[in-house]
Amino acid sequence: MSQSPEMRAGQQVAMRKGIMAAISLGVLSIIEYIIWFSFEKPVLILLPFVLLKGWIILDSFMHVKVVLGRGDH
Amino acid sequence: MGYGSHESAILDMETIQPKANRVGFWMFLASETFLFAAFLTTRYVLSGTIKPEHLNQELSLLITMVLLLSSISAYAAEIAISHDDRKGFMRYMSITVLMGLIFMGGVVLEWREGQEFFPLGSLTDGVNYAASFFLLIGLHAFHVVTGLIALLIVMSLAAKGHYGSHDYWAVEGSVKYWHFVDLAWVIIYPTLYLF
Repeated sequence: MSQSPEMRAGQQVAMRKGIMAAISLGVLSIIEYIIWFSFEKPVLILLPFVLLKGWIILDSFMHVKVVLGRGDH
Repeated sequence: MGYGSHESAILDMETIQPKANRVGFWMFLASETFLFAAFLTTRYVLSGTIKPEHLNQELSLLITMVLLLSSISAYAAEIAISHDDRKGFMRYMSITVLMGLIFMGGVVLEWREGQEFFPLGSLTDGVNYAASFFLLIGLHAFHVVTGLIALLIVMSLAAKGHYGSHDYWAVEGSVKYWHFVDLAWVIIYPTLYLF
């Protein structure tokens, strides 16, 4: 099955969004590790990073906004 | 030309069914969230934020990165099939399954190291933490295995010509489940290793 140019362009745009999300997740994971390494009690400092990573997965990969009625899939 | 009642009923079903599938699936994920939340809470109730010194931080960070990368390939597979790119779908799905298997390999290593530090059945100071460790790692690993099975099933069906840009719900569901497994690990990883 061949793709139309519009479909290919749409696929590339979606891929770019996914790659940006993945890079953000990787960077945040490394920051988490550095924080753990640098602080004796890192719970409160790490918490926003954990929540942010969770939201990136829910929003970018799982399209939670579609279920909430505020986005397109 | 107008539609008869039978045709309009079919059209209604085609519109409603994907929405119903999504709502049902998210309700399933909500129930899974309660399950993980219960055991995550148990870890904090049993041992607070106390954790042993000798956890393998490097291995856990490495498998975390592998699982995060598998999420982008799973996402790419879903995007590919939704744009009728079957070849791309098979390629990205294979990468996802491979990364899932690498993650499982890392989990097996973690489990074996855990058994060295917390021998099963022993009553050491870290028994509360050990209970949470094995329970959360095991629960998550079970979800990874079921996720891999789901991905392999949609892969084999796609190889037989199933799915396309107008019919890829099974792919979407199994990929979302994979992302959920990733999401669960995003919480479990700091709970066991960093907090």
